[in-house]
Amino acid sequence: MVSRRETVEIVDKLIELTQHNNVVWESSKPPDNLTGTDVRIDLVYAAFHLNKHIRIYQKEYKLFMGKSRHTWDSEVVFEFIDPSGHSLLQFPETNNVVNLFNAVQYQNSKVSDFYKDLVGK
Amino acid sequence: MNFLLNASLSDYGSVSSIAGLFITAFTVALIFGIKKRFLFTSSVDEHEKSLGEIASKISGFLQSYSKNANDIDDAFAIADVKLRNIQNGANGYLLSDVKIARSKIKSYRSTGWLKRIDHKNEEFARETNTAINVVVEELKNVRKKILVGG
Repeated sequence: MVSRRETVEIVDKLIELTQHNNVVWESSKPPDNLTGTDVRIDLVYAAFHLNKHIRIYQKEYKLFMGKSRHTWDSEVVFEFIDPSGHSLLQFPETNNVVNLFNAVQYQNSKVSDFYKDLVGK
Repeated sequence: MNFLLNASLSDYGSVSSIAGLFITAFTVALIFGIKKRFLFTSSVDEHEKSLGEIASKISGFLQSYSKNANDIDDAFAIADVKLRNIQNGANGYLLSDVKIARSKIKSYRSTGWLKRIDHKNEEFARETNTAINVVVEELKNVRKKILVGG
């Protein structure tokens, strides 16, 4: 089991590698086994680094309050997966996992390229 | 033994008043300790949230260190103030993590000709932010312990 402290360090290192484009994340539609009527996922992001497949995504899920009322909550899931995309190990949810997800989205949306093209810098 | 046998009522009174003084001082110290602990436990949630927000902000700034160096410096200064508040009521692992984070912030922000090693660089800024994130996670642990009455 990976401790929260180790997860913080792993995630911060991945943020650095992502921000420097040393780890490149590919986006794709979520596999069917991850979604359902109570769970929504827009995109999943996967990368291959140090011979390991890793995946990150934001999961929105129904939070039931009684029998009929519900609200939507969300969490970021960061995990090791096998080459077929099956989850092997989920890391504990730490505060900086959200920062990693933001860095991955930023890399994937090519915001910096758009800025350079638009402003010409 | 001789003192106890030969002591007058006044001597007993003097000893009792000295003992009373110690008990009063001990009680006052205890009350301040409880007050400090109470103030800390009631604000753990707020500390966790605000420090987490600062760490997230710094993480975003680190996307482009050269452009955001000043903002990073300011954010570390604010984080140091928060950490100082936390340090007042912290103990155990949290206290040692807070001290590590504060010493890294101090090293990062220190300037002057006496400084032997220049820590004002992206690598050390990331290391410092990781130390802040560790404090955030430890605050989460403390909050959980408080919830279960630990």
